[in-house]
Amino acid sequence: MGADESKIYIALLTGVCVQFILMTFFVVTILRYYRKRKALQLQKLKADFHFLDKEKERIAYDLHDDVGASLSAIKLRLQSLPATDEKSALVIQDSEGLIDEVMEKLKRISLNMMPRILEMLGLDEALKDFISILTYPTSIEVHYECSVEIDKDNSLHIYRIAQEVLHNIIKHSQATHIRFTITEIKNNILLHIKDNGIGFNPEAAMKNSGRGLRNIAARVGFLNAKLYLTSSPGTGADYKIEIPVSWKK
Amino acid sequence: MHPFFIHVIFNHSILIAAVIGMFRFKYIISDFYPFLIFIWLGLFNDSLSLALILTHRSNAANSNIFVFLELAVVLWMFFTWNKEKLKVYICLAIIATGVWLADNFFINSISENNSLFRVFYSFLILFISIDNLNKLLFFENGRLTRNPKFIICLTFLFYYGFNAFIESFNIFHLGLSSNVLNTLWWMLSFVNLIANLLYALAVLWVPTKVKFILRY
Repeated sequence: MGADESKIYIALLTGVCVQFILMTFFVVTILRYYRKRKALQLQKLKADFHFLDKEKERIAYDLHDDVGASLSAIKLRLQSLPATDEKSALVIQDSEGLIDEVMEKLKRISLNMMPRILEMLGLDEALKDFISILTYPTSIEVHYECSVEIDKDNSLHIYRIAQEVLHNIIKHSQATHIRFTITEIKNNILLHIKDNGIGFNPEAAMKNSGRGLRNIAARVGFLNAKLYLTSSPGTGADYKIEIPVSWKK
Repeated sequence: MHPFFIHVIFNHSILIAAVIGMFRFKYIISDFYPFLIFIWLGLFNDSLSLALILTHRSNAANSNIFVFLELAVVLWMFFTWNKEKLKVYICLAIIATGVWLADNFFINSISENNSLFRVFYSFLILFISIDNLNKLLFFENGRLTRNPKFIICLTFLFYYGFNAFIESFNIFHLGLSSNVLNTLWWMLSFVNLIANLLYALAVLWVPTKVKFILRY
């Protein structure tokens, strides 16, 4: 090999190395900024959820404490009214019934917004309570099991996911039976909700639906979890949400 | 027309960006002041080199000083865009100064056309441009094609990539024929012309200062 030829080879080799370094640098910086952006998005999502939950909490407490107390006072005043004739007694009784109905609705709305039971007794009890209230006027049978303990901060996110999924099922699926389990499998907490309803096309639902599925997807993303949704018209729906075990207590 | 004058015209096409910059200087945001200085510095060096060549003197010394100042201004510009990376830019400036001193005073003489620093600074600008381009790709919300930072980084990739390639031939002393070298210099001149036109576009698209209006 001549001296010039070896110089050409060295130059080529250097060129290839430089190209390789430039490409590596390009890929590394892309990955670095991708991670930074993802972290920022997660931070924003966290702030949004925090704000949303705080606002829900405030409205729920206002509804329960202020409006609820006012309704109770109205009911008491109605009860103290003298029933001069049969017609007025009937009107007072009807009004009391209406107030009870409004108070019941208020309690439901307040519970939906911020379940106090979640703070006091934890996720398991809160979900049992939510299911019993959700299915009370319907004939839907819910089989619920929870064998995992989850910490307070993240139980609110899991509660919201379950709330959104169960609301979707009750509203749209025409299901008669729901199976809902929370278990720990292979270092993941698995939320599994399955119904025997009319089913739907998940892709079309994601494109066309309102906030329901999007909210679920956003919360799932926030928990760094994975959502597997299997459904097609006529086959019911199967929601599997795998949450990394780091979120566990 | 004599080929030398075509080279001169291609190199002095930076005048377009420099003139637009002069008119827009008062109105644009301060983030792009270093870029305007970079352009005016380029125009000054090209004119000085032309004057020296026309008076049959070497333009090597001023070019060697120019590339050092050019890198300093580019680093300052990138620092104004990424203020959180002060330590990185200081380190890069110190290393670059070391390489420049070594190339011009210890390995070679400042009165020669030295390629070591030119290759080094070209790669340095390439790396920083890649980093900034990727940052823009991920964090910029507006249209990138009308973003002056995007155009500047892309032009740097284009120009300094080619510059590093050309200067590498000088480092390896490959013994290329004068014909090949001539073609390479023509190509560099052409790349320079394209880069200068892109710089002019970038200067045109630099955002203006936002006026503060107090409404009563």
